[in-house]
Amino acid sequence: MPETLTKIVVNCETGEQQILPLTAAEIAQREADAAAYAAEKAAADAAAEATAAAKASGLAKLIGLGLTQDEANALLK
Amino acid sequence: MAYNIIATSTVGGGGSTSITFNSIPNTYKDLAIFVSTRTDTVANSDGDYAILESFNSNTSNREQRFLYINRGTNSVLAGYTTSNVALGWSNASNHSSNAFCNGFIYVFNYASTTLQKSVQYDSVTANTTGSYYSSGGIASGMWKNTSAITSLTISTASAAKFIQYSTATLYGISEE
Repeated sequence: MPETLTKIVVNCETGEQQILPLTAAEIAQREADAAAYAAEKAAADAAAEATAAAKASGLAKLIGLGLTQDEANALLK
Repeated sequence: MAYNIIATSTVGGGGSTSITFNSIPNTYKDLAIFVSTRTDTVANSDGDYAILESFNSNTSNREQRFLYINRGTNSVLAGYTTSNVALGWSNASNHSSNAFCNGFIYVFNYASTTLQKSVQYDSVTANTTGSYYSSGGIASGMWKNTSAITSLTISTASAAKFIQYSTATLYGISEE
């Protein structure tokens, strides 16, 4: 039997707190938001990894030219 | 400024996908929400995410920019998303036992009927497990809508659940 997803709803006027099952629309929105965010984060992570790889490659080339690690790091900051 | 507690909620034993505060009174200048969260999902790297999902259950015209510091890799990630209003960290199930992430959300001019709504979110995970350490993040978000905010929802970006003892407390900020 699939788990029933629930949400907490607090009425700020009365202080009443209810635990309610998600509607089909809420489940669909939740899944869409999670998928959208996962895609955005994957793209951002890939961009960050590409930048890090380019930086490491550049660093190695600078050291190959005779710079010290500290000198190369300073240039890439 | 004075912080006045409007309402607080603690997640029970079954967990919860979200916490919604509704019927928010319009008598304050701004709103603040303190969250302490942990999810039931194994985070793939630096943590899970607790998000300010929506105002007034409206999922249109949301956007935010964020900056995260990953303590595990000492890297910084900047990004943009339209899938929520503001995004902060949450501890995940593979973080240190019983550790919860603390976050602070500030909502400006929430009762205005002429201004679009802007948000700040500051959070940090509490973790000493494995190579994940603790990660921090700041985000600034917008709900491009001039309606007064009467409800808001905190949930997770990963379709996880907040586990028992996660809390959210809503404050009204007055100028006195």
